[in-house]
Amino acid sequence: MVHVELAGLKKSYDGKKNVIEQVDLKLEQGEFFVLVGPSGCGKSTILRMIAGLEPITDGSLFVNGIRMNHTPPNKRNLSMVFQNYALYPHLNVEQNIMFGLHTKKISREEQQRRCADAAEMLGLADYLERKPRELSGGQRQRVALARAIVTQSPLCLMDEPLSNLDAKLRARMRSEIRQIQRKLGITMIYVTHDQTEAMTMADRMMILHEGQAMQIGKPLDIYNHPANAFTATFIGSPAMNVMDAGINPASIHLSQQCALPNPMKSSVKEASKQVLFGIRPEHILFSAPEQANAVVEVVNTEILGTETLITFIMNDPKKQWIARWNGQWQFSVGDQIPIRFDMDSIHLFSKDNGRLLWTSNEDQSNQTAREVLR
Amino acid sequence: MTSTKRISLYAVLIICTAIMMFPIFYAVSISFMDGKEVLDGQLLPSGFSLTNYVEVFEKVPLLTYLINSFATSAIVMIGQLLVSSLAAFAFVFMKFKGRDFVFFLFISTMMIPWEATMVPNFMTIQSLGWTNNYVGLTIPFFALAFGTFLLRQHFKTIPKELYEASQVAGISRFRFFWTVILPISRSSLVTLGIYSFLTNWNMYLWPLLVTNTESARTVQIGLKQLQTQEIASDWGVVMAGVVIVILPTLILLFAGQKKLQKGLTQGALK
Ligand SMILES: Nc1ncnc2c1ncn2[C@@H]1O[C@H](COP(=O)(O)OP(=O)(O)OP(=O)(O)O)[C@@H](O)[C@H]1O
Ligand SMILES: [Mg+2]
Repeated sequence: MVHVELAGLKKSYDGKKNVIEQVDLKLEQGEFFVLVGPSGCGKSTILRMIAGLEPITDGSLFVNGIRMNHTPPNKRNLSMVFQNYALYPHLNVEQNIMFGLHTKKISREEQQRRCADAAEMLGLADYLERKPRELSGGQRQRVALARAIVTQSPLCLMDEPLSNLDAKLRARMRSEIRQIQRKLGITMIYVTHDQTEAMTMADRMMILHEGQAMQIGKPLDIYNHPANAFTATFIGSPAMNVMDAGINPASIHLSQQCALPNPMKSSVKEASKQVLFGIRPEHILFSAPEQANAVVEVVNTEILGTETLITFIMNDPKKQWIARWNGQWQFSVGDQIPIRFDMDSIHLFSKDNGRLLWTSNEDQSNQTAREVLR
Repeated sequence: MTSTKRISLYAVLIICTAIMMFPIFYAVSISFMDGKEVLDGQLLPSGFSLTNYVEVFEKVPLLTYLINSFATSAIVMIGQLLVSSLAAFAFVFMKFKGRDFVFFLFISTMMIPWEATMVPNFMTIQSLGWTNNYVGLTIPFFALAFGTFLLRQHFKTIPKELYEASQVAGISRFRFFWTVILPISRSSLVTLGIYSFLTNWNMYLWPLLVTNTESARTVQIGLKQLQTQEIASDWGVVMAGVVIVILPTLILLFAGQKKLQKGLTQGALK
């Protein structure tokens, strides 16, 4: 069942330039949807339009099929967690959590019960008497979360709620939020600029770039089938290697020494042109010398324990590639190593607009099967 | 800091304090002297007789004046706090066309000296028949550009997400103002309150204009009255009156000094 629908949503602050260009989106009931993109791409703007805190310039917002463009925030039946938590500094945790519940015409006992439940669920029971300034960042964040939960609104909006936390706490809160969302069956729209957060939490996600939706889909689909060069480099850490390459009907030239067979034989239109060649770090393989596509020079290695990140160059020192290999590999700077590209996993993007021109693994089931076998 | 530096610093401070405090000290001292001691130019009274204090209450209706001053100051203070905070709230949290222009207009009235508007104000009050009562003494001061400015500066430091969160939660605008904004801005409100109380307490010209009965006049006029009545013959009595009148000022300043400082600099820095 479609819960929230954005149809041709547009936003302009100054009446001239559109900060949001044409966003179309349908959210299912109970879905965990992540809006992800670099800073300033318009994530908060979209969220604020859904919440009713910012007027919609053009297009429509439907909730349960009803057009909501001009409904005031309190009538939209949603809860929101702000990036800076927006806790009331003069109220204690309990008062903060229950703030505004009275407007929902809930009895005092029911308010108390919900507050106690939420505090229990989020491990805040011992802090109910404290003021927000006497709490750590993680505890504050949980108070903000509790405040959203007690309203029992069917739709919850979160704007980078974890951005102020340390890595460890962030990882824990990620799974806590996800569990709570599942348990309560809330439809969630979650904003983040962190692709790891997006990948790990989302049922589906939208990648936003300069106000335009670059791609919408399941995290793994997007990871495996980026629709354009932006998505390809944005999702995945370390990012996909995307490099300029020359192309002719027979081959792709990455450098003078390195030419790969052109898999895109049928499409001659792109012949003798420049394209963007993309490959994920895990698809660059260490090779026996006789099968190598290229011999490259190591400029840096980062051994992470279970895997090693190797930064290398071919000819141009400005174009640094990254490969990710399992295990611990010890190279020193300047080592010449033979590598091979997994030709089933390369992507070619248009140099003009960044659109995907060609990829071998069009069929997703094939791809996942291959992942399992490896 | 070396000790010589510190000693010289303290010396300068002490001298300044002495110069500043001398008139007040001398006034207190005179209020305990009889006429002869004053004329002899003594610095300290020979004893602490309260005769001057008793006399001042007999010569002028000082108690009535005190009550009038206190009441008008309190009413003006509450009025200014309410009007300024509501105006500042609108200027910060409500969006409307020409908001900045209106605010600029509002603030620019700070440039117009109060004396310049005195005559039109007086005529208004007179034609409304508000002379000789609290209404005429207080209402013209309710809208205070400075107070609005001070509070607006403070309100602007409040994250707008607090307002948005309460909008999402369905809290009404006024309730948000009352239960969130005012408690958060306590220190600025105290500052403004003290400021407006003292300003009104020390006001002379306006009460002189709009009151002409003893029952409606305020202390500053009472003091002037003392001075002219006595024709400088009995300074002891005049000074006793002065001491009584500045007492509330001093108490307020001592009690609220910390808050006053904090509030004023807070507004200035942000
Ligand atoms: N009130 C405003 N008036 C004018 N422009 C604005 C306003 N708010 C945001 N913008 C502009 O709109 C664009 C999108 O802003 P938005 O806050 O939605 O970005 P974001 O994706 O949330 O970024 P971040 O990750 O840094 O929070 C930015 O270019 C920003 O400068
Ligand atoms: Mg944002």
